[in-house]
Amino acid sequence: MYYIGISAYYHESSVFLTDNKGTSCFLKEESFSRIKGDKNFPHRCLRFLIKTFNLKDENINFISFYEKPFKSWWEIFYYSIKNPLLNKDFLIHHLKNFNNGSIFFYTDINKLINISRNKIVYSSHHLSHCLYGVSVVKNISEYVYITCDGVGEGETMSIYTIDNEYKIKKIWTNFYPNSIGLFYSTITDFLGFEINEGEFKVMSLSSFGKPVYERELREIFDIDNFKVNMDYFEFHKSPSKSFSKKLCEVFGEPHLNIKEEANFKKYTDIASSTQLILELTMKSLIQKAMRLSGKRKIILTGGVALNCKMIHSLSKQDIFEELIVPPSPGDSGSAIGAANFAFLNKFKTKTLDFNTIFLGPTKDIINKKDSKNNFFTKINLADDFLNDVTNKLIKGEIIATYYGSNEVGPRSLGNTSIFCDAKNKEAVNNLNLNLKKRSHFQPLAPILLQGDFKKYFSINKSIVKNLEWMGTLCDAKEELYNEYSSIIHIDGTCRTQIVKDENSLTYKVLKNLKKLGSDILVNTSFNISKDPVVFDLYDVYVNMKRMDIKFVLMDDGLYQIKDI
Amino acid sequence: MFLIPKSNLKKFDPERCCLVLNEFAAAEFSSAVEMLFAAKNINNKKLSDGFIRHALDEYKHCIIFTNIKNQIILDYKINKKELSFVPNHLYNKGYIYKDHFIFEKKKINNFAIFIGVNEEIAEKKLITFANHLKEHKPFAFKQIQNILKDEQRHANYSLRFAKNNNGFLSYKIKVIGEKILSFFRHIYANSLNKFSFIFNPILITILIIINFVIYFLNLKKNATDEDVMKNIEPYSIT
Repeated sequence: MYYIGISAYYHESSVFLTDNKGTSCFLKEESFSRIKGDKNFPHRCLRFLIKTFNLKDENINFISFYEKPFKSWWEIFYYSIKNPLLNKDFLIHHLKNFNNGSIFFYTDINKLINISRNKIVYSSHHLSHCLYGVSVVKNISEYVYITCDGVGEGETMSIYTIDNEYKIKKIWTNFYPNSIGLFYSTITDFLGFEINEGEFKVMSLSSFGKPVYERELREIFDIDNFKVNMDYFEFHKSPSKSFSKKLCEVFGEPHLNIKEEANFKKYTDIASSTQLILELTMKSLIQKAMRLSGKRKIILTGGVALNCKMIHSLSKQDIFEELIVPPSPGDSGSAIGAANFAFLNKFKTKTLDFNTIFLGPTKDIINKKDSKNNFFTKINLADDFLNDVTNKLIKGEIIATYYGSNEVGPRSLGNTSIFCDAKNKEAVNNLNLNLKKRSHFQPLAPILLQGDFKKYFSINKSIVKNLEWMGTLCDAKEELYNEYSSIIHIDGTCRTQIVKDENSLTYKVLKNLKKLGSDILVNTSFNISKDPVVFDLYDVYVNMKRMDIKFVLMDDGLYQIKDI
Repeated sequence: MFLIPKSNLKKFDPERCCLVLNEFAAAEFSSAVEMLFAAKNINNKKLSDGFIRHALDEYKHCIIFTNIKNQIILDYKINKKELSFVPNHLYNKGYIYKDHFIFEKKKINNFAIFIGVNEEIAEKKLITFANHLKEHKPFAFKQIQNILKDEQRHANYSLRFAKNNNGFLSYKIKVIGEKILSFFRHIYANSLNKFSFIFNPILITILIIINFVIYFLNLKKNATDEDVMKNIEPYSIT
């Protein structure tokens, strides 16, 4: 009997299925539609699951949606309707979207699968975030659970505690429009990046600048009381513009081209100041959560938690004992939280239990048997293909990986990645700028064995857990500068991933690489900018052709791309 | 390209050119996605390979249009966020459907006609646009000529396939039918925003009425909850 969690309509749409007996499958709609950040109802994911797991009313326990649909729609509407003429553009847009949104979730589900109404349950937005956080720890009562995002059901920040009997208490909430997430997104919009996509670019940019606008931004966001000054915002008035003229009076013209040097300098300062306000606000929120709960261990979820620079910066202030951000803290991971809600709602005193961060389907579930031979030729028929892989990497070759189960979060953790030797500057630059077509200010991330971490990096032990899924930055040591300088960001940090699982192919590649004198690989997701990560072998082939990558490492060997 | 942007510009306007280029990039991207889906779902290796090659061409065209646009943006120092290409916007612009791909709704012979006819229409519109750019942006004109060659090849291949797999009369009727459908699809897509002139006043009236009702409501929010799981109603959407 399956539990299915669904997150959709607002951010990356996703579905999570589990029977809590070892079968689990996390999918994103973007993997099927090939539209990055696809937020529509996950028709294609569900069709795949229905076919793969023969889903029907009889073998489904619950389908759980990650939030209360009407509440989510209403709370934002309620704020703007107080001034209908001034906010008419937003309100009309919101009204028109009424029938495209999650309110018709049950109807949308029923078009695909005929399921009894009493099997559809609705969690709550921040509760789903919180219950996803629960899935990454064992001693649940030792932690305080903080959720922080743009907005969900009219809430922007929440603090929860859970006791050993799974009694969940919400001990504090902050309400829309007072949102640090929307504040950060508004600056993202101002700088000309796309909301929900460009925030990580603002984070990268911030390392190049100085927080010279701190005073001005403190006027806009009150970090102690978590309140925004709405004079600077328009997200409640307009569906297409989030900042007002008053913000332009502070920062000047929006959307300047940052390829021009003067604009770049100015925008990095704005980004740096914004990042500082975010970090100060989160510090304030964490202190509040610790004060209210009496706990010093924190689970942080919600889209804001994806800001790994903030996690690194907070750890340096020694205010908490431990801080964990799960691999997919945003709305897409909430599909897991929603499934957990259904499970907890049924059993009352237990939650779903996972022992892996690779909750996606394995490659043999995704692909038709033998389809890889259509696109690829195995280049080493012996068992020592790992030697081939590492020899090629050392020679500067870029190798794609496609093995094991898919990752859950936004970051590829080795199973659908692109690797190159981090020592080889030419390969690193080629990968970043030519193949991935990323901006020059976005660094690539290193991956290495857990045992080698301390040789090259330092990190506060309170956030060390997050290294397993690139959830934080860490500091580069002198040894890293000597040989691997091309992966170090301008502020001396790296978004490092450590590999612990000795059975994983990634571990074996790294182990083999050490024999040839290199300890670190560059690990970037297997996609081109603006495209989702590859899902099936067709995507692998098309992406390799587009990026001109010749080799791909799969579960059973190293393959070379064919011409078709 | 299944929905082809308007491209009949009268005088050279860099900003308007960028908008058109952005729309062409969007159309090419959505066409690539459709082709990739077709490749995955057809039980014919040769056709599947053909769809993959078509998808690769369309992705390439998308990048060419985007690069031309970026060059014009740099040359004329244009600051417009609307000019950035965001794949997620393809749904709202009508380039792709939310719940299905076109290939799922058409038989392969009809799909081939659909591709062929629309590629031909795209080719004509692109020629108009390329000629418009010729004088002001010769580099762009040259690059678009390469795209045109690809579009012509796609159209020829698709229509040849359709011709071979349909009777003469059936082929002709389907081609004409597809041209008519395409004409109406474009009229519909281009007039979507115009309906707002009719509906917006009605919606504003509704909003004022809701505002009046809400004025008398005193809705409270709870910042705390002693037992969240006990107090939540799992079957409720509110």
